[in-house]
Amino acid sequence: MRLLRKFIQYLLVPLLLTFVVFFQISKFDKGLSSWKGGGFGMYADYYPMSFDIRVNGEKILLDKKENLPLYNHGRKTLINPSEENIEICIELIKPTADTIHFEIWSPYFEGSTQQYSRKKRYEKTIIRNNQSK
Amino acid sequence: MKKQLLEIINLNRSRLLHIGFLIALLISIPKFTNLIWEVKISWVIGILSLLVLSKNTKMAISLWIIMLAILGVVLFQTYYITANHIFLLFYVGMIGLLSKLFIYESNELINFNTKMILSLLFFFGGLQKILSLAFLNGDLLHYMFLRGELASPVFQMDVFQNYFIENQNAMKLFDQNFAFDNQRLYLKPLFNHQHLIIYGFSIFVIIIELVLACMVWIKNQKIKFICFTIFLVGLLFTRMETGFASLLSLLLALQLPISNKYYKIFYLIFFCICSLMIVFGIGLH
Repeated sequence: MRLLRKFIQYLLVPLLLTFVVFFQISKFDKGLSSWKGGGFGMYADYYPMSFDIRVNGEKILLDKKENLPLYNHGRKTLINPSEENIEICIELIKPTADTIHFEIWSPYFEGSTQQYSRKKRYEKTIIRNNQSK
Repeated sequence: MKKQLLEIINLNRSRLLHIGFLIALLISIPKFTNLIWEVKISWVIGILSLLVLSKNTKMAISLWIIMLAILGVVLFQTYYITANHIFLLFYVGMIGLLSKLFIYESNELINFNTKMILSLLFFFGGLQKILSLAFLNGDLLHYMFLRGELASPVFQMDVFQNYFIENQNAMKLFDQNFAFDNQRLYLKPLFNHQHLIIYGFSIFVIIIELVLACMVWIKNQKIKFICFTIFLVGLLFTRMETGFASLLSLLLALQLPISNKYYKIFYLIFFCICSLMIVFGIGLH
């Protein structure tokens, strides 16, 4: 009982913090940005709002005035390209093709050659059947 | 006036934590729910008056639980897209609740937990930068430098402005016309050995964060105060991270021994300045 009390008093908060950080780091391979999600990785990577969404090679414009729902979900997807977020994005973009190549491109800079470009950061191919279309 | 000032300075850790957390929470939460500033002010007045009225422990525990529940719901709904300082706010809230649940050990409990949070925060901040190849090889900071985003107040000076605006426009045009993988844009450096210097600075930032993680535990308060103050000022100056800086200054005030009144006043003033900047929409929060 005394040990449990000491654990709650002194270890609960640091352990929760550590768990959240490792959970966030474990999601990096699924495209989660280090900027958000409790991992304290701000300024460790390119800012997700400078990324682009491309569907079947075409850049999707995220404009607050033109399409507010797409703007909101698009920004969420840039930070966290989860299946759910991508699905909502595709619903809002309404592409006509059955096979959808969803990509996220980020800025890329090579300091040694002073060259700037863009790099594919995340990609997913979705094949839709006629029913779901 | 002098008596009132002394009362503020002599705030014990628990009360300081309570007030600081409430201010930070009340400033942060309405941002999520898009409430207007009048609502923020009425929230601050309403809950602070509740705090003044609730001197008994049971009431204070209930208040902490309510505040944590509000924050918990917000965090749960927007977990992956929530900024890191909101998580930090949640941990501060947890310490507040624990300090009321274990009231007789609250002083040591707050002191130890705030030190742990600060230490882990700097350690993981450094670790994330080591894990990021773009940061580790200096490319990220170089990219930010070229855009004038590394230390925006300096880069707004007339001497540099044209260079950064030119770069930003060139990148914007490149992004608009970008069509295939091999496209590249050359950006001329501002000074000789630019990449080498920025690469050195990137490594320096990682080392500093790891050193600060250890420095939390040293007993010499003067050295600690100088180092963390330089870091806080640097954080505001380079990134204008008012949200993060306000919580850091609150944690730094909480980990101080009770005798260090002047350092505590400094951190609290810093906390108030950052909080005011957040209310007026200045910086990242």
